[in-house]
Amino acid sequence: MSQRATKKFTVAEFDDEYVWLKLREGEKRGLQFAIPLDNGCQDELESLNEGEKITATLESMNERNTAWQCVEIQREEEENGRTAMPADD
Amino acid sequence: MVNPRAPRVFNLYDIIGVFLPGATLLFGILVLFPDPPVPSAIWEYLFYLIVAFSLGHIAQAYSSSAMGELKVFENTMDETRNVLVDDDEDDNDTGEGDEGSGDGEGNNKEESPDDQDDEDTGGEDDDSGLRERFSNSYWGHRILLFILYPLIGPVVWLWWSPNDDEVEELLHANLVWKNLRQTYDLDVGIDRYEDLQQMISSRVDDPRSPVRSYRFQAIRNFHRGMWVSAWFVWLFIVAYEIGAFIPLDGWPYRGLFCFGSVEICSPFIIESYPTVVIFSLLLAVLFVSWRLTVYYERVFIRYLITDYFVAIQNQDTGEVGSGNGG
Repeated sequence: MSQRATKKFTVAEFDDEYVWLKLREGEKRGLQFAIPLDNGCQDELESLNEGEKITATLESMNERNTAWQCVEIQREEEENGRTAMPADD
Repeated sequence: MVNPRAPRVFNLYDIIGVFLPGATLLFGILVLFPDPPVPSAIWEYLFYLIVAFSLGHIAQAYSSSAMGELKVFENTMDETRNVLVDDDEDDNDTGEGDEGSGDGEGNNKEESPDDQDDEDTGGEDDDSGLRERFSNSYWGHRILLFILYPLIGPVVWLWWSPNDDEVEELLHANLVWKNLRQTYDLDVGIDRYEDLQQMISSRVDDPRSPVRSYRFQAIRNFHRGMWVSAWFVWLFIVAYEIGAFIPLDGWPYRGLFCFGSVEICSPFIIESYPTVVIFSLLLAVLFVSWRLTVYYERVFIRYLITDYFVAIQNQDTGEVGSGNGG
């Protein structure tokens, strides 16, 4: 049973297989999530820079919703130029 | 300076966590005798000391299983990773129709097509759904955890483990999780929580690290040992009282308390104090000990995570902590 969530993040850090995205809003802001670099949005993820602000749509990879993969990414600049978030793919 | 690798025998951890619950259990057993044997010589005191220590170990081993894991660590590590879902559910509760808003409230959650298929299977799980809703509700959770489980836990632990919430401080837990993943190259979806907790415990058990969590672990062990000890004595008293309703004056059931005598005899404590007083006292110890066990399990996990967090911070900054050997 997978869930999707669209959230605002800051790119915190890259390690070998994952990029760590830091939640920017909400009560739990500051928490970091590891997103696999080779499982969705590969090119977009690899082109990100540490400290960059993005809005990402993530999809859980397991029933407990403890692992997430990327579905869509919008950079802050792109987002500012739009009037609304894109609809579900 | 304490050598952290030397075996630590009969330290404060052993006295609080093992000996005191064992002594309580021994005392509880002794007062069940019609004429409790009171030690008089030094070797008798020494013998009782050894028996109390041994009973304490048995009580610890039993209570360790009987209390379950309470899942505080598991829930905490899950919460640091699935908070995206929970956060969104909160958002949905506070308002709808915020999709696409540009005011910072634009978070939304969607179900994937697979989820919609899952929902269509409905109906047959209504009963289990009702039970789950009860156990997940505020009062249902508390009734199960704090009223029912202290009484039946030592029997039902094989089939049902109680479940507590996660610790509230998630930021340290999240950074600890990040460090564990990067240090040990773990899969992000790992659900072997026992392994994770052991990794943290092993890292914290270092002379350069603060080990405040171990003190709380000892206090938790004391309370859970007291819980099981009080429960067993309570069970003996209940068994004795039930014996009154068994034909033939409860023989041989009640005769067990005479330890071989063919005559029915009463435990010393029953002869000395009103049963209702003993019963109430044991129930009070039992419930309070369990409540404190749950409380200190949370405190222990919180400090275990904090100890690890401080340990890795010290490692990064090159500082040496003032832990158990420092």
